[in-house]
Amino acid sequence: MKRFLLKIFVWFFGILLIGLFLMNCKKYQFYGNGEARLKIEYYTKNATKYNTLIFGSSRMYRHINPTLLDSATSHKIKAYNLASGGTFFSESLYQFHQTPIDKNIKYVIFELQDLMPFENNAYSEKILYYHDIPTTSFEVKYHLKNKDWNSLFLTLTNFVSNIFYFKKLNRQELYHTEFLTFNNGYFPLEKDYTLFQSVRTQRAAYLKDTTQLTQRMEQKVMKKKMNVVWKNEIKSLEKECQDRGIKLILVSSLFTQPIDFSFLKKDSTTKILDFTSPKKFKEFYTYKNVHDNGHLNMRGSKIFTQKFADRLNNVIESEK
Amino acid sequence: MLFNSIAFAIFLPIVFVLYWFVLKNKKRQQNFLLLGASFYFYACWDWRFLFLLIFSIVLDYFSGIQIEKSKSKKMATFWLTLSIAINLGFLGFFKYYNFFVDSFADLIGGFGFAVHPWTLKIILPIGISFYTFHGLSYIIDVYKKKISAEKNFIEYALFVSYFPLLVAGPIERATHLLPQVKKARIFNYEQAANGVRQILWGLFKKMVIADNCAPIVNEIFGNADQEPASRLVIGVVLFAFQIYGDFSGYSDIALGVSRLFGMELLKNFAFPYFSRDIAEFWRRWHISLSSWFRDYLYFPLGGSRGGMWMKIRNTFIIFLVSGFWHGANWTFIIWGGLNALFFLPLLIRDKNRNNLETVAMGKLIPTFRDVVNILFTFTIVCFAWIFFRAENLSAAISYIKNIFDSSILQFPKPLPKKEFFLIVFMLCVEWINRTHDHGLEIHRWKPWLRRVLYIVVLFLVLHYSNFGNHEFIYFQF
Repeated sequence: MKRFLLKIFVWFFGILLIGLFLMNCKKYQFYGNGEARLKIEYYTKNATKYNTLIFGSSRMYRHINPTLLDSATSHKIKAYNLASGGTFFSESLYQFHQTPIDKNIKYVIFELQDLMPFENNAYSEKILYYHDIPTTSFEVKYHLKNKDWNSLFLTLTNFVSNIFYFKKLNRQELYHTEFLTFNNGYFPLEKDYTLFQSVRTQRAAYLKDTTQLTQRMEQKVMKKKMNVVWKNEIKSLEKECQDRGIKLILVSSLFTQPIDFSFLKKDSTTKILDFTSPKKFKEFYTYKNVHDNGHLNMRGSKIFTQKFADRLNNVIESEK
Repeated sequence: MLFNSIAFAIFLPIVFVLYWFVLKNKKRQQNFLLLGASFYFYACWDWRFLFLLIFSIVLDYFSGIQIEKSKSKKMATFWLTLSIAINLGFLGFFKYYNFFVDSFADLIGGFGFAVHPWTLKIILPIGISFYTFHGLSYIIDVYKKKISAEKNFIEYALFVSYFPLLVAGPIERATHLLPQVKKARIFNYEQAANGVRQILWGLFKKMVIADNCAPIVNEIFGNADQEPASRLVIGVVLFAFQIYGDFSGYSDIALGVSRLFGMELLKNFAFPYFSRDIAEFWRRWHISLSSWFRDYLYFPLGGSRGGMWMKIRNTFIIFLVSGFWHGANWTFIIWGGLNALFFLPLLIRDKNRNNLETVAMGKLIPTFRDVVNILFTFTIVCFAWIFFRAENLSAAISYIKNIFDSSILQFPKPLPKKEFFLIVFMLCVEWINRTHDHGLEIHRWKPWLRRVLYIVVLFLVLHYSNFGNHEFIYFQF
């Protein structure tokens, strides 16, 4: 029996070591998110052109047009949009840590979210790749604090799966790369409509029931209090940016639940741009400005980028 | 719970450790643990059907005792009939109700009467065809006095619901498995190590071969009207390997897992695609089902004792019933009928037991004649698979029609190179080890060479596996 268990252990340990090595190979760090990988590769090659980076989900990717943002800020901002579809908080953090941020970068615009994996990501390779040791450790602490055992199990499973997921060696290139250069990483949903089934499905769901958007506008919004682990992660992100001389701008996106930021110190240099209030941003809850129930269309994103630039101009002004 | 799921990867080591460490040398508790684990394994799909499984176990357990207790043959026959009727009644209701109702409506409709059949949305309880056949074999054996009725309920329940074989076989016999359940088990290193190798080979066949072929097969069968004939041929060849990888892979995992608990299950596959005629193919494909039908249907019908006509009639009955066992669809019945037709020339010429030995025994390279025979057998098997895979009869016929088209000469684009490479690798490994139980049971190789092969297979599993919920095809039967 001992011999049997010892052999099983030796084999398991051997594969574990190979898996850990592969997991830490730079080449395979973004195997589950081709979009993010290509964007980061593009940014790395053209890093000197930009002084601002945008991280986050499709609500940043589809809503902020860096080319418009640049002109609306009189080219004080030269942004590249590194956000990608279906990305949530841990993934954005991982992306931030793995991106070789150039010394030119003055601003990092980072979308804030709760630690909620999307259903359709949860059982796919999309969720595996960013479960390295630091991200897993953060998620474990967060779920432990919330006593969310199901999510804890999912996180640990994803970590182990990432180690043993040798398919990462076989990563495939995306056949569509237009989003890399189109307006510096911004790509409106309309342009993806013919390419991706998920975009068509969401659009169809919206057209079937357009009242959801107005219902959302009338809903009472409560600021969500995040737990201490999440707050500490934001503080360490803030510190990391400060150490590099980067100004961190945290964004609460349209169509999301507001987050309570009172934990940030009053003397903090980090700025918060909150777009969660449906009452303040009524124009984005109208048929002509949205593509589906959670995203703006090209027209909406143009208006949104202008509003975003106005806020950003205030931030730039306050720095003087 | 699927064998190729993370849940099973956690479940198996827990049961293994409890079985060999906590309950070491305590046979009763070990059986109790395996029974509890089996019920949990089954309940992971749908706990409601656990009651049906338990009912089936209780029914056959009491029927067995009553048959043995019966003082007259008449009484024993009554209990046997009752048990068979209830077992087949449940199987018929859950699996065949809608088929019979629809077929009846179609038949009446053919005479010009409009009938609106009262069909039900029935969910097929997973594994019902398998555990019903376990129970049937037991009570028939008790009736025939091949074995005595089992008095220990836990041991009997474990025989029927033992988790490695519960949902997709192999279909066990009480004469084979019950004595192992009753015997104390001692950990055997060689047996357990061989079990792990068999599990690895099963995972390779399922996760690498079957799951990689599946999307291409689905695409080709789904667009059969638009695909060139050469792609249709590729579709059916890949399906042949998909179903082989899927089902024999499941069987290998089941046998390997059972070996970890010190119990041997019946062999279900013996490299069927190396068969030189259709009779040999059926001695090597789904062996536990073929032998079940032989013992409990073919022999009671008279087997080959009543002359050529009886032999032919009984062979057709066996194949048609076997087809129907696979599912409530005319495609399965035609599939069974076609195999019987292929069998016929061998039967008439009394050559159905010609190839009893493994092909090219003691040689690495087969003779030219063997190669031709293997290819011919594979071709006719593939032809029948078209009916097995098609959604309905008209789709199957249209698929075959489209194959006989001038586009057969077109180069098939895209050519699934990766899948063919993996299939060739599997065939090479199986060819080398064709006299053994599974592809990774190697005796003559040097230890380092064996380890290299294990590493390659492990690497291929981790590298080419399609993760996600890929259920096994045979779960639906």
